[in-house]
Amino acid sequence: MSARANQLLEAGLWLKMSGDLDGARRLFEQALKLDPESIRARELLGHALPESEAVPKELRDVPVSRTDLFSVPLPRLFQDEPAAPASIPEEWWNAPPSDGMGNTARFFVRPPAAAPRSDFEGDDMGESGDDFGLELSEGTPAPLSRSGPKPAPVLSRPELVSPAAAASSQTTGAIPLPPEPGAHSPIPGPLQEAVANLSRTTGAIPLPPAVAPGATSPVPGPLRPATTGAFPLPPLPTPPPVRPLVSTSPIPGPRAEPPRGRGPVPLPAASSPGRGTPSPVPPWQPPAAPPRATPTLETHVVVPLPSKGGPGALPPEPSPSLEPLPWPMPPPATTPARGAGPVPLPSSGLGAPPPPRLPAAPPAVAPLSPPLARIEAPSDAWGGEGEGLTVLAPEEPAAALELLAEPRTISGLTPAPVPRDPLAEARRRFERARELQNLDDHSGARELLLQAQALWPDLTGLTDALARSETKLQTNYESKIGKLSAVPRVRLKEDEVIWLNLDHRAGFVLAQIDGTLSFEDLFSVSGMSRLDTARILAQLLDQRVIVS
Amino acid sequence: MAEQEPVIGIDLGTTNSVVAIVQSGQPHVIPNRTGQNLTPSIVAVTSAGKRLVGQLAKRQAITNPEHTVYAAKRLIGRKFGSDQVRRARESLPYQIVCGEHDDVRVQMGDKAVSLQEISAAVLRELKLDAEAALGRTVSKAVVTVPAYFNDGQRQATKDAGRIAGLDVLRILNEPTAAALAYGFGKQVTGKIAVFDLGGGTLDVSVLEVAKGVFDVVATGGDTYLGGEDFDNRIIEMLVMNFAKEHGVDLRKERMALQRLKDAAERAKIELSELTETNINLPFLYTPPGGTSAIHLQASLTRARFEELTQDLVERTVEIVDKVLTEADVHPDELREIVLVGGMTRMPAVQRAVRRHFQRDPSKGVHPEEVVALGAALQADALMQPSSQVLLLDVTPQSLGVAIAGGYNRVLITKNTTVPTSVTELFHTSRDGQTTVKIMVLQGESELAHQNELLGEFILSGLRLAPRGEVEIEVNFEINSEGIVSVSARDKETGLEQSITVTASGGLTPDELKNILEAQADSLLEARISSEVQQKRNALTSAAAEVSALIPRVRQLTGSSEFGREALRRAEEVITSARAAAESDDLAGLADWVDQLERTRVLFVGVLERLGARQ
Repeated sequence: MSARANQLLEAGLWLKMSGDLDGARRLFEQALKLDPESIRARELLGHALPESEAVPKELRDVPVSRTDLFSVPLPRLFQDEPAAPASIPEEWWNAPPSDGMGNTARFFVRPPAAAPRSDFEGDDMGESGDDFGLELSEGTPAPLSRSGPKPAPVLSRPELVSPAAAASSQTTGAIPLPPEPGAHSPIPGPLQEAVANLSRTTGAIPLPPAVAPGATSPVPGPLRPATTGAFPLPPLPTPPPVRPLVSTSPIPGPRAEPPRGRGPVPLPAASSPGRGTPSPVPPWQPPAAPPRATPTLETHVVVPLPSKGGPGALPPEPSPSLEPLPWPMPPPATTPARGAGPVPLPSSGLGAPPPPRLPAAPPAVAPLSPPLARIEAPSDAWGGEGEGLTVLAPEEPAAALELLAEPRTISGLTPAPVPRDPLAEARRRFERARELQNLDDHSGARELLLQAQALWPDLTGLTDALARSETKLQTNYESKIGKLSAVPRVRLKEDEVIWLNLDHRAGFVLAQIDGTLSFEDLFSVSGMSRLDTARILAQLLDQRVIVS
Repeated sequence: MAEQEPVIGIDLGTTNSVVAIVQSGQPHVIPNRTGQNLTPSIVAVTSAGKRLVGQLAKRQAITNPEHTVYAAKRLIGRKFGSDQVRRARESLPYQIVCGEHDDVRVQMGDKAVSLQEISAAVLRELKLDAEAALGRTVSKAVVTVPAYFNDGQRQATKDAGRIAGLDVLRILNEPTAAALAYGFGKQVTGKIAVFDLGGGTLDVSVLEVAKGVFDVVATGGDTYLGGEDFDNRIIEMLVMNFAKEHGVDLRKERMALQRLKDAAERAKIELSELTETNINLPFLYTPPGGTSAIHLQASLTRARFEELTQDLVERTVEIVDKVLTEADVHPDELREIVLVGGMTRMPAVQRAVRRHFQRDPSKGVHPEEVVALGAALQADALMQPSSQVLLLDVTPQSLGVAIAGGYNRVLITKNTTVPTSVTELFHTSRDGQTTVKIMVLQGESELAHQNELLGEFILSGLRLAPRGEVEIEVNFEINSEGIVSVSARDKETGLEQSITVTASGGLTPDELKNILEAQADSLLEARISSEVQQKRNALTSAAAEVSALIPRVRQLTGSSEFGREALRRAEEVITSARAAAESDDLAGLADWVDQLERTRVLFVGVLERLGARQ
């Protein structure tokens, strides 16, 4: 059969499958005209074929496992994830503090692979309700799970992947978590040796413990919601003095009666001088603002994190990965915070249950593993990772409380080292970003493009490329949100919300959701870019924190 | 008989506005489209260029301070060089600029917007809410203003109504409206005190009510004392405690401050009913350093709140005292005390008022709604010739002429009902005076230069004579529209000159005309834009749906050449449609929506067929 005829038959099958039988018939006829010997064309035209044979051969073996046509599927990229590395190689701990890209060292963490969960009742996206970074406290039921009560959750510390391993693989797991030096709990099997090695290595940071299945551990410090708690309110400083009253409007008092019987009142001559600038009579003078008592704001300095290269230094950040993400993850914020708590775990690919949070065995780290799922560092909304030193400079006591805040500034950041050739570096990142764009990894691409923009803002094509990725991401997020005129509401109770892992921006958006504002309204009041707001809303929907 | 056109009453407040109407003889408040009775008097423009009015604008007031205009009432109708405007510029976050005629404008983006336009946005919102509730067009309204508003401020408020598409039948004093709502025009005569503590201002007024005339005999207050000050005390407390515990000054965090403000207001309101309330703000602040976000959880008792705001309550009492003293009115002389404004719900405020006036204030009408209800009653009375409530319009300030020695000779005293006409005889003050200047003044001061000059003219051609021999008759006339006409006539020769004075709100007639024309244009544009916007929304939704289907379709059919071609074309359609979404071409947008819909149907069909095989 000629190629053209084959194409026509294929097209006809498409039309037939979409319900356009007349169109399909016409294409079959054309195919038959082109290739009168074509038995297939004849059959398609004249005979009722079994439906299975009506499907093009190429399509017959393609499995379809979903019936929800409108869910956003995840590319099945990671079904063949290799086994996790068995140990952390020595060279990872001795890796130089910088990856040469000027980035601050980071942990890269990949969640342990494990047997599919038997109790999976996730949604069509292959995720269960309690994924995406929910670290559950001891004994706390999963608030977001849709599968009903679950066994007591177990915290697991994913193993750490060496940057070298991550760099050499096409994907890396990137869930930065600050290590907890000194944390100790029984570590099963293969990691014991790795931990022993670590503890003997100068400057190494001990692995966070992996908790055996069924065991529980308290919510680690950084993950525990920090609350001010109910506290007795301290006495105020001396209240400001009462404002001195300025005299109010001149209340018309008794009016002087005109001199009666004296005839007409003399009017001023036309040239009479002396009238000053007219001024309106104010009803009353606003009282002068009293001097406010200086509030006794106490300050304290946050101890800076260890600098690069020193004891307890964090390992360097590996190169960005090549594989697209399983889902569009939020890019890191411009002033990201380091390792703000648990981060969303990736799900597996389409059709497979997500990796459970109960590792069967802690996987080891292999330096040259096949492509791993790269989990991009989440942005602020989900506890974005930070970089470098963060020092909360002491604030000077304010003279008065102003209702409106000034833009936030963070002082004391150690500037990232500037590459020797920023243009070349920017070009490199730009090219890398374009590769990611071709692979549909627009989150990663955006991150790289922003980095390139910071290095060389006028790079040709950068703005368009950035706009393209942002548009794609925006579309993805808004497709998850659905109708923008819909009014979302919060599913969780107040005491459940508090156990989520959100940052202040997501908290702000969540606080605005009161059942009266639509998604479009939320874009208007969020105070953030539309993209950031859409990302937060999409993730809140994913997590079933809110419903539309 | 044709149904009468509805007339609404509007309380255009400094912080919140309310609209009401009389139906079946009863006034009631019309809730806005979000179901609330109060609409914040706030207008904002987002970074995306979207205009927000009311609750939406309020919710982002702190995260977008430079483009959120609030308390416009403090500035409307004032001169840019006035003390009030000077003070406001020191504290307001949005940029105030001087208009061409020394009027006040707000810089919003690249446009200097007049205060009338800002207030018009709020009035328009209330108008639309009323129309949505009534199902009919509304074009007439009575709008209230503070008793101390001068003619310029009143005219500016009327201009705002016109810009909003409302014919303002009457500008009504707020304390008068409150008294009306309590039925005092019909049932009560005598002196009434109105204690109005709202969101941003305190106004204390004493009214003399007799025969349907509400005479404002005394008024005073503080234009910078209101509910927001009480909120700020709670915010201060929370911020200081948070700083002590975490070393962070939340005042520099806009998102946190916005949430604190909203929470403080809610707590304040709750403490009027409860003795203790909790303030829970999860994920309030994320420290730089990567740790988890910090929550704020606090409890506040009513006692503690009263302790924090004791000085504010005391200040209100001092102002009451001062107004009564200057009016020479003893609390015993007052027939009723009327509470206006949401802050009068606070138990401490009620106690203070009760203690000072030595009686319980009138109850039965919501303090936040009472002014709007009174305005609605007045609006209804204006449309009902047989109405028993006849509230006569009065001049808010005295009118007079400047006389020799620099004094002000009042011809029409304030609160005189209009229309009215007064004639008085004057004479020359110098020997050989052949011309006389008539300077029309508005105000209460006895000194001419301390009043406002409304206009002046010269009468010349007088007979040469010693001083006092030439008599000039000066006539003041105010019609029902508030237009003042002044004429001067030489009794001997009959020579006459006159002027007509119309209060100016700061906008010239041409400016007002231009604004109204632009408004009409933008109404037309809005109609078109809403259709275009709907199509754009449909296009965006359709494109998103098709985009969402592409991965699955690719997965199932990507290995076939036709499948790849179809997907490529679908992606092209999506990209082109999204680019076309920026245009205003309604037909073009509709075409793209159709194309996307056809693609969607095709993909859905493919997926249904292929999915059914499993």
